[in-house]
Amino acid sequence: MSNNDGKNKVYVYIDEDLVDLIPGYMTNRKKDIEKILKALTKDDFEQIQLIGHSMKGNGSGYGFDQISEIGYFIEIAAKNKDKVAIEQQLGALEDYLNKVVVIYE
Amino acid sequence: MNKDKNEQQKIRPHIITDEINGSSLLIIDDDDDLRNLLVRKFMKKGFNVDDAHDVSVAKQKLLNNKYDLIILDLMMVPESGYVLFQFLIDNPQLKWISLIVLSGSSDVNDKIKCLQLGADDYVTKPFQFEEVNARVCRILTRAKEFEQLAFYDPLTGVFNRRYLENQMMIEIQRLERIPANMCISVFDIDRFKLINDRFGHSVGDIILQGLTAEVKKQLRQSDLLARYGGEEFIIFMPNTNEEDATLILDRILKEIRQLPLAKVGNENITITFSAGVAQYETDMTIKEWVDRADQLLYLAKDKGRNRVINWTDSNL
Repeated sequence: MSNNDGKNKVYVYIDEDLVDLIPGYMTNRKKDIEKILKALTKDDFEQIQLIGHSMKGNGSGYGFDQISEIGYFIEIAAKNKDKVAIEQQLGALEDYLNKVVVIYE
Repeated sequence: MNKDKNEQQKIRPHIITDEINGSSLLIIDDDDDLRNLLVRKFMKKGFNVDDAHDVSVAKQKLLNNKYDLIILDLMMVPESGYVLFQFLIDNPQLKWISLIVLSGSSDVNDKIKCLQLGADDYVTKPFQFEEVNARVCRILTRAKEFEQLAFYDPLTGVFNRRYLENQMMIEIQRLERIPANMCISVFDIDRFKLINDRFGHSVGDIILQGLTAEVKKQLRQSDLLARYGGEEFIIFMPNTNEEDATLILDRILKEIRQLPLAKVGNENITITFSAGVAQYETDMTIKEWVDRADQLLYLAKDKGRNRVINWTDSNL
């Protein structure tokens, strides 16, 4: 569940029971960016596809629908070996991680 | 709070009934974040939750623990989730466990294949937890209802022959890995037809119910009581030798003789039974094992009823 205030922040409402899992989850997505960048240098599209696939699967469960969406596009782009599209999605992910504000409820 | 949030709040969370509260789930997924999320959420719902990060770990856990439902990812390394289906089908202990596939693949061929292989449901990622939970609750509730119909005798509430034979098969397979003694006793109410003829079948039914309730009280938690036929029952006793099994049956018979199981007018009705005790021997089939106990039961009848006879003492 997210809400963009139109400027810099994206507010996401998340179950307070997940409070201790969220920092690790965010860190892992940042690690995903590094892994994908590294895989891009080796044209390892299979690895990128797997990372995108996982991201697609886990994002919405936590409440980060946009991460699932980006994961989906990364998976498709990797399948098509489309480096430009992958880089675009990485930019979108980085931007989202910088803007997202989690509100526990 | 946006519109979606308001919409979602209108959905009533699925109620976990007492029947399925505390059910055990095994979550198999190689994505740590996803597994952690599902474990946390299902525990909060009142389930006992275990998890495995690959198929190999899942197999070990399935052999060593009891689960009511599996949530399985398909795309895993080194082994795909598909590998687990055959493992479950081949094992009589595991083939009844409900299974939901939770996969990132929305390919219709994957869905069909999984359902054909025995999955009860298929949910695609990304997912909404409350939907997965509702499906889990529905499948578990339905499974409990079927279990009641498929494995229990409706009159006495004890297990039926189908369940008994399945459990015997499981224990025989376990015995191949971990040698141990195990026994069965077939017992049959003496002159039960006379009771039915004299007092009517409703009194006969009360006696069957009273007998099973009393026998259950006398058994250990590991023993299993099943109705095998009309007034014939089997007690299955894992980790028990012939001598101990005979002592248990003698003790039960002694209790039953003294206990009125029904009252008609001023008359208290007591019964006796005859029993045969047979220990499992290597390479016996279930039929051979039950036949041996049955043979001993009829020997007990021939010798005057109201007694327990085991293989060693029978001179057969």
